[in-house]
Amino acid sequence: MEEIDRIINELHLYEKKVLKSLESSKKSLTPEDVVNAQKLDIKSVMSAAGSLASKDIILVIKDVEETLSLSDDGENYAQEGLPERKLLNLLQQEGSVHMKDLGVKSGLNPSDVKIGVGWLVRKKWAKINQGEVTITDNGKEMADNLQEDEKLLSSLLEKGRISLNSLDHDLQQGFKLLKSRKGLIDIDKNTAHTFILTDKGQDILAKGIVIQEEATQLTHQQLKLGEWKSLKYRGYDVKADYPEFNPGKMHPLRRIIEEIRNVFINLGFDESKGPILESAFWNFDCLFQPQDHAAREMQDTFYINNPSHSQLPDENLVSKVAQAHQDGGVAGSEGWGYLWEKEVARQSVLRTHTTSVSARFLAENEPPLKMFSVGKVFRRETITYKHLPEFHQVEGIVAGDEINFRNLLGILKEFYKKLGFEVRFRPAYFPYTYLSTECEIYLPEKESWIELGGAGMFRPEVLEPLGIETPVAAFGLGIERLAMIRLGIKDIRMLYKSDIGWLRKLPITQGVDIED
Amino acid sequence: MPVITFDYKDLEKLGIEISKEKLIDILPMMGSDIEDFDDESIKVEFFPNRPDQLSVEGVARSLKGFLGIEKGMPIYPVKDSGLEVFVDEKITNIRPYISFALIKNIKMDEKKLKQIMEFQEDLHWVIGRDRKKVAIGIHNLDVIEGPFYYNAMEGNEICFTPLESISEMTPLEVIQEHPKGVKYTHLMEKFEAYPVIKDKNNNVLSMPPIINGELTKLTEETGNVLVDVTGTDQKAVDYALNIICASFGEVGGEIESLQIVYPDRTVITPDFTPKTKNLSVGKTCQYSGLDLDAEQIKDLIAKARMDAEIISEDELIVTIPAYRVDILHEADLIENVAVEYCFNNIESYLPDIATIANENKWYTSDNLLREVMVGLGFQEIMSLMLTSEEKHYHNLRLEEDERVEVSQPISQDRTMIRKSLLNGLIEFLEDNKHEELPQRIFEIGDVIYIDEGAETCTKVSKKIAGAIIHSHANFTEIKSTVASFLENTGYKLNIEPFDHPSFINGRCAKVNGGQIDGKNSIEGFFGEIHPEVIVNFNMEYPIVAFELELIGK
Repeated sequence: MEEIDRIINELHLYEKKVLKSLESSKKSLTPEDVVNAQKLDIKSVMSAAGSLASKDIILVIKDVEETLSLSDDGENYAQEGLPERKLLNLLQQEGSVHMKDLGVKSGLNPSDVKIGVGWLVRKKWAKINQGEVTITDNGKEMADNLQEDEKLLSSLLEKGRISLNSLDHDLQQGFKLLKSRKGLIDIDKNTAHTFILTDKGQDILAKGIVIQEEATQLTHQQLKLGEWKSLKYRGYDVKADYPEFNPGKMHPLRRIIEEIRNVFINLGFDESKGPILESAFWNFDCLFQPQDHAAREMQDTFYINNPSHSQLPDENLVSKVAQAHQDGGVAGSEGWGYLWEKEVARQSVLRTHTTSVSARFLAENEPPLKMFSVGKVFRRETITYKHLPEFHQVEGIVAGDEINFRNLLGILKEFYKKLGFEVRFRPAYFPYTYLSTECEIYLPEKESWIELGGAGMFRPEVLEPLGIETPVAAFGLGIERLAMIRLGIKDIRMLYKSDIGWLRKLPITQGVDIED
Repeated sequence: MPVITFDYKDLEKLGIEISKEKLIDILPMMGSDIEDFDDESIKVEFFPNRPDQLSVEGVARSLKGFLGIEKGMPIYPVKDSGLEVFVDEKITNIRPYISFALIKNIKMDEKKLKQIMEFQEDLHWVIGRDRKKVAIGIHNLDVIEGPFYYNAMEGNEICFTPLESISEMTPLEVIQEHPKGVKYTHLMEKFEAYPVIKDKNNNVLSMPPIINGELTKLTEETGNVLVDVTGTDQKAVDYALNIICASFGEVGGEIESLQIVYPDRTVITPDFTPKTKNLSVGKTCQYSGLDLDAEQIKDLIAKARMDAEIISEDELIVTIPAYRVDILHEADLIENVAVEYCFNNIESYLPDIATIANENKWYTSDNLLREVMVGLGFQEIMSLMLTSEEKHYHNLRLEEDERVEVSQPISQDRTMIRKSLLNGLIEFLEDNKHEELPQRIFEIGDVIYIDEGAETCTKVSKKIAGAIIHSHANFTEIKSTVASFLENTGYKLNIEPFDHPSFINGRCAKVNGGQIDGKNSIEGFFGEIHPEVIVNFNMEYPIVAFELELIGK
């Protein structure tokens, strides 16, 4: 459709009617003209004209007109004469009168006397000397003539309403005088509109518009009765403003967790879960973390007042773990060389990593196996833009006779590749692994590497008490930091104390790939 | 974790010519994290298993191996000083172990003094557990005279001038008044006597683990030092001494030993006798996945600054220096081999184990619940499990009951673990009270109950909760929501009136949804939130909400 046809198609019926009026008059029109010509109400005409003006089809010119009329007081004065006129009439007869006698002699009330005397002096009709009011020459001359203000009053009395613009020079002087007296004249401000066709409007009319009954909303009624066949459905301005919808959506962090779960499911990993409130035994001791290890201190780990202690698993496992700590047990290790205490292991903690889930899984399952688990972990961090006291980790283990360190790197590389990241590995240290490594992913926009997780082969001191005889590759990766990179946010708190506006506006994907 | 700072020039002096860029590439591959660097110096964090790398001399030693400049176990000769240290019997219940060494002919300057102090503090932290397990003193040897005495002394039995003090103090005064004494008083509170190290002439060297004496303070002129290490763990005490001696030894310090005379035995320290461990070629290859022969492994072990002797095609004996605390097991040697091989050079591949994945229903069930709530137009939110009694109980007009309480909370508003998701939802609405209404939100999350019978004395339960806020939010809207949710997740809808203090009286219902086949159930409540609750959370619009708990078979 040509631009001009599209514009015509989108014209509302009333807009067409306004244009039609302009066409027939070939000149400017007032809204009232259109009201009369098209039998529309003024509101519809103004709204249609506004819409036409916004599309540059007509110009709407505004003229502000002030109309004068008499107030009740004004009408009174117009009929009876102004107080100073009455006093002048008195002075004309008497020549001069003392102030105190003016009221009685003129028959005016005291307030009108006051006003009248003021204006006598102002109009130079009289002089006052020691209370004696005496007519002036000017006053004598005016005795038979009306001043401009009086002329306006009588004009208004006669005509009712007079436009301010239509006053001649005399009456304008009169208006100035009357305006300075309070409450005699009412002024109505009226905006008069004039519609003028623009070039575009003329083009539209040249193209021709048809006035036809039209419908806005297609209705059940129209469909049922077939009315639609004779109705014109006006085109809309598709670029017009619209109310916004807020769909229900999954939380963005949850979406990333789901994505991570899917990667591991696709890699053949069994999903597991474990307690959030955990005994120090499963969180630390079973993972060969010595009981005086710094990470176990109160300042890093949440200990619990209630329930302060957990039950330990079977005595066989407990004593093997104790031995591993004390002298290495049968794992061929030196151990940590200290006296392991059961009570310390019974303390309840909020798990500091999901590695406790791996330990529990190994205690109950036989290799070969692949297991992963996603869950909340807790560290004693105060809440800042960088840290939260609780966050998610994904934990995984692969166990089997042939499993080695290169496999561990292979899994991590594959995992991060599926999430769209390049990864590198550097040596690290964890008490429960050897061949320990930290994984770093590359941030192209920052040209730097950021550490996202730890991995390694579980130590013999961990595996031997659990009865595992094959190598076990293990990893634990933080999820929130990865989510922050993915979502482009700098404040980790946004994930938990979210702004609903952000959640509503955040797209669930950056476009949808439909081909590999 | 310990962080050490040194200049590139320091490495140069120790015989390592390396560009800044290469150093920055290499250090992480040796197991460290570069914190910061500029044109002159570098700040590096090492892992706590390698306290021997907490001095620039230690770093240089490892770096020389990694770069192949110097390989094999370094030998630091130890001469007998002929001096003795006498250990008081009374000390055995307080801080039973002590090791001494003399190091002569060292070069001190202002920077070196500072580095020694930092090294000492790092060791206190990493090996010493903040001086509890191990405390170190380094003294100017030239102002004292052996033999030395390690005694337990009464609080007022002796007087000496401690560091950072101008006057003499008794041990008791140190504990009560000296800043270091006050800081470490907790280490001494169980005891009535204090460890004191003295020389032949009754000069006090140190009051371990609190403070050294002013007399033996190191200065830029100090050329010979005495190192004392005391502690509660013999192994840790010896390691700390060996690490310090090896660090001085690396720059030519002449190490001399002393005889420590305990009431029941005599030992000589420092003891640099290395330990040995067997290393299997087969296991090294199996666990690392690298294809190496005995010769290659021997060379990599040498780069890790240890010696290896090949005793068969599959077996080596590795000699481990006495300052290495990290080698507990053959596995650690395998790790050293891989690190020296360099992680960058290790190619990865996926394991060849056929396994079948199973999703856990605890997590897959979330997706079903979520699908319905999202379909009903609710935005999912996530909140923290740590909350406070104020928010969780008081603001919701609830009485406190049994809950998981954190023993040292990070703040007043994170003192307990949630049992309900309601306050999290309402707090979210409060945070977003200036955003456009209506708001419809939900959360699926774990809560924790106390359960005395369970192994961890707790039970994790899964809940789903939702809330709606806008000027016409009412009972019918939330009832329709809950009914629709339950029907679409396969539950029956049984509704009873319910009194819940968080809701307007008479506008709350209990739901008990049995599954159609009778296996699982769900239960909870919904209704119009009590105005007092809304006001407690500083809001001014009506809120309706529901919470449901999923109950397994």
